[in-house]
Amino acid sequence: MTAQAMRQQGFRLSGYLLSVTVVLVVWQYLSARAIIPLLFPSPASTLTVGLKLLRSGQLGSDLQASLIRILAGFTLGSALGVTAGVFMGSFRAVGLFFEPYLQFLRFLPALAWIPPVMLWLGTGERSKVALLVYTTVFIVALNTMVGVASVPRNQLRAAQSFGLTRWEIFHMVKIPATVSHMLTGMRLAMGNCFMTVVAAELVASDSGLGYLIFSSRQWMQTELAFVGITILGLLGLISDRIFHVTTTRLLWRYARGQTGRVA
Amino acid sequence: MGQSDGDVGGHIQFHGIDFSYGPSGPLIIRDFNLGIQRREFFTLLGPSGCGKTTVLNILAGFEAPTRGDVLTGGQTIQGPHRDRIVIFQDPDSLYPWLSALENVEFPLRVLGVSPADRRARARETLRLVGLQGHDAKHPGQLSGGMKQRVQLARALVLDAPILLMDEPFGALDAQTRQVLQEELVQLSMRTQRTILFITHDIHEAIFLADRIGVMTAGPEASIKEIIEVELPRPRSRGSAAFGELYERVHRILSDEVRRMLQGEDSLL
Repeated sequence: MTAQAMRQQGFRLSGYLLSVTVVLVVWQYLSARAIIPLLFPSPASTLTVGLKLLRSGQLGSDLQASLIRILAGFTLGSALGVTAGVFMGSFRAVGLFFEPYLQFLRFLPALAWIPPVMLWLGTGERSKVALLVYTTVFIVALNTMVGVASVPRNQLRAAQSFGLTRWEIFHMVKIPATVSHMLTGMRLAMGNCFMTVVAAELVASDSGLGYLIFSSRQWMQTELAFVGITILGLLGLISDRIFHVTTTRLLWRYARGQTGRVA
Repeated sequence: MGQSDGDVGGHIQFHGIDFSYGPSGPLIIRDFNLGIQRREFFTLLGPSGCGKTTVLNILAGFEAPTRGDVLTGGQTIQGPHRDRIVIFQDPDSLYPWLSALENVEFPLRVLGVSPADRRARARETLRLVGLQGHDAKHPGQLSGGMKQRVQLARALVLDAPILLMDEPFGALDAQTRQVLQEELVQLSMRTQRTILFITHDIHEAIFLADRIGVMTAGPEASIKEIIEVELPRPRSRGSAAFGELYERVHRILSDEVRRMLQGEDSLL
């Protein structure tokens, strides 16, 4: 990294730090003046409860439960979505057949499916993973399909002139040209997975961050909800960063309009 | 590589080509006839939108003529083939996930050339187009002129007897364009390919071509006149003979442009 890039990075980080500090201070100040402190816990008391939950092991196990669900549903959904998208983008007939359902279902949030899915698959892990697969599959399929269909015509024509067979054009040109679209779909899907997992855990679960947030209601333990919310937000942020950084490191050559290695 | 263009092929013949999109569409090209000699540098010149690229796409095999045949080396063409490689105006035909070297290797990979051999040939061809030292760069890291050189290398590495160049320098700045024109003349003399080069730039056509085919304004475009460029190479853009020829071509072409503009007026 050049000195200038480091300075810019430092500037950005201190900006973030300042912003977080200001919000925490304002939050602490306001909660001290809240009419019913119980309803609006301060950052300090949230932290205290959070640490207590961490020591007791509950936070860890809830975090783990949610993460495993997301990982399973997201991975499975991405694999299905990429496969479906590739087929739909490559074969017009397949695309036309499935597109109405894709367009219809992508506006139906997984939340709407919770009751029937619970009836079909029970309240255990299977229904939660199924809902997460649902959350992931359409957005990944749609992005992949668009990607396959929008490979620059000249890239395909050049390949034809070089004598590539249809199968060679498929795996040597269309697939690599579509990687960035697949990743875009997956990144969007991951964000949605966090919403779905919380909703599913709110409705029926005895573990997970959604459950933690929901259980706070029973004993008026608002801190518990705040701990869950904060951890969820951080988890989303961190997983997005991890996803972004690993894919740009490993797959930088497939990035759209890439201008070289992105560090 | 380069020097051995293969002794067969290279000769091009268009026989009474009509072209329309769909059987009932208006004719874009009508009764287009043209013969291009082996190892000739032929430039197709015409107003924008007249159908020059359509002619090139038919020869490349990307579009099938509605009527008529195209022959190369005496054989009727059937779709794209590696004996006719296109250098597109838009360098988006390069594969952005491959380095310059890997892009040039790409057509050899499909032919089953051994990795060591194709690497050596690709490296040599990149050197030929003046890109030594840029092997590892990806298209996104190269300037417009460099990308066109990679496209040229990717075509030359195949020893295709025919190169089809679709305004390859059209999107470049004037200085880069001139440099590449000069290099292309050198390369075409060394590598002995048949070249069909499309442009709407009269200077470019005169500087490059053995013969210039001026097209009529579309629709129903065809060849209006063929002009022999008998200026010795290397050509000087400032010479009196160059200027005279420019005037002559310009007169022919501006008649067509005027016709085209009138056609547009009557449509309004």
